Amino acid sequence: MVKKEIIRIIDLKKSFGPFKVLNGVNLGVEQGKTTVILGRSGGGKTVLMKHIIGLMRPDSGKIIVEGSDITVMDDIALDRVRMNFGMCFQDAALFDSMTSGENVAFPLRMHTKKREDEIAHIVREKLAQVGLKDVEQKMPSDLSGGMRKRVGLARALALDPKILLFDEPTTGLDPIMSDAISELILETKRATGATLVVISHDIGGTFKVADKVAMLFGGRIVLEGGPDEIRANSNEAVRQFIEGRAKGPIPLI
Amino acid sequence: MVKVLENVGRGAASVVEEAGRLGIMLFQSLMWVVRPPYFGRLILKQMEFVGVKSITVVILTGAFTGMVMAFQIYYGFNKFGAESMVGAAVALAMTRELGPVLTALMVNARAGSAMAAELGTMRVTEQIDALAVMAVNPVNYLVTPRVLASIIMLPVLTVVSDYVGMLGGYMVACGLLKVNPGMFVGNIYDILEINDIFNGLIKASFFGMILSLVGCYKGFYTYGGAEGVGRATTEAVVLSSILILIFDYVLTALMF
Ligand SMILES: Nc1ncnc2c1ncn2[C@@H]1O[C@H](COP(=O)(O)OP(=O)(O)OP(=O)(O)O)[C@@H](O)[C@H]1O
Ligand SMILES: [Mg+2]
Repeated sequence: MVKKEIIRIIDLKKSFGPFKVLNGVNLGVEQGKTTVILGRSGGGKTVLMKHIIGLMRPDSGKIIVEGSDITVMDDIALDRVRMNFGMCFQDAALFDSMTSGENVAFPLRMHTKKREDEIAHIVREKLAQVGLKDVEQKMPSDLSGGMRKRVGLARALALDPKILLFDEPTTGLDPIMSDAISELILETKRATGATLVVISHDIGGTFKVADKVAMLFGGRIVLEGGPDEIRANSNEAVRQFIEGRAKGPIPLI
Repeated sequence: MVKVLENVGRGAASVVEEAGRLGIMLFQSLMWVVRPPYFGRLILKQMEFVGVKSITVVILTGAFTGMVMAFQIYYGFNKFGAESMVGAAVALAMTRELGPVLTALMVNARAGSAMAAELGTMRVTEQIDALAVMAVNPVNYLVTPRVLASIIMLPVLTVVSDYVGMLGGYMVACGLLKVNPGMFVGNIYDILEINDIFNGLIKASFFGMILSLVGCYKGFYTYGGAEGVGRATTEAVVLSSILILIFDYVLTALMF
């Protein structure tokens, strides 16, 4: 079986003022696989993900998506690439002026010429896929955090994207809900065959969903490999992170 | 001393930078007027928000301004027996100056601030990023409808303000101060030219552009959570009020 890389990040650098957040990130994402990027809070995971989808421009480096470098694209070309992506934001980022149903319908209304009854059907189907029923009329502010994340996922799935990005899908949820979301990610991959990139600092969830794990530390990918390789790694910093200890080579500040 | 100069220099640089970014946003928002996709329904919704919902405020401001102007002008004109010109003076002041400026300042306080708060909230909760990720241009979707609606609705509101201002002036002058109603109205017809009204409406459009653009700009570049939204809203109202008054002078001098 030939490995095909759908995303390749080459020597990506980004600073905010004097503060180097990404300092030469190199990473490949294989088609049809789930890649999990692990890292500390404030370590630049969200920044990295925003580069992958062109929300931020790097100081230097390249991001090749299906053969073309998105860091040099204009808005129109970038929008065309983005049609292949779905993204679930850390705090769902639902439009709070719209109902949940309208949120899921939004990409369909923007990018397809489907009739309203077709759209309503797809919305119901996508919400069912993430385990939600009869929430179409609810405003996002009336939903729990876990439900909002699910609606966000349904919205990301609306146009059947080839690549799905998850920014900390389980953070801020109770352990049961976290596991349910991890199951949902596995199920989504089974059902859609999409390529998944998941950002996380949830160790348990990571080993459950990942085909490949990459550790982002100090602005670089310091380690990548299958979940078993990572688990077996004896590097002190890696052990510290996956065992969740405050004491060790990784400084707290 | 060096420190003072340094701060002045840095201040000037940030003013230039801000002006540049405002200019870019203006350019982009106007470019999306002609470039598809078009969001007609959003423009209508904003026209309702900026226009229809401001009418009460505009009527109240216009009426009381016209009324107080009638008192003050009567006081002055009475000294040389020109009371009959009160109507014309109120009409000129309202159409050329007070109608557009006061309408813009009131709509700015109401709608400009709301634009900054709404877009600011959308920014800090990543809703603007979500739009971009779904391949919907945030400037086209959020900024263009607001700017366009304001450019269209401010002149309409100004016409209302001009009219109720003169009406208020009429009530005070003819009702309380016993100016001859025929002379009041007649002098307005004699002296007020269509150009006076037209100049005022051009100003109004321009002010509409300023308040919506600044409101959207401050909201669009909000950072720092709920506090940031508050700061963006305040800055938007202050900056557009100042810009409205400055451009009022510039436009008046140009069209004089
Ligand atoms: N637009 C920005 N301007 C300035 N600094 C920023 C900006 N965005 C992020 N940063 C900084 O970059 C660093 C990394 O932020 P990022 O949001 O990527 O962290 P993260 O790894 O996603 O953390 P978390 O797990 O808490 O979400 C932070 O220190 C943050 O302050
Ligand atoms: Mg993050």
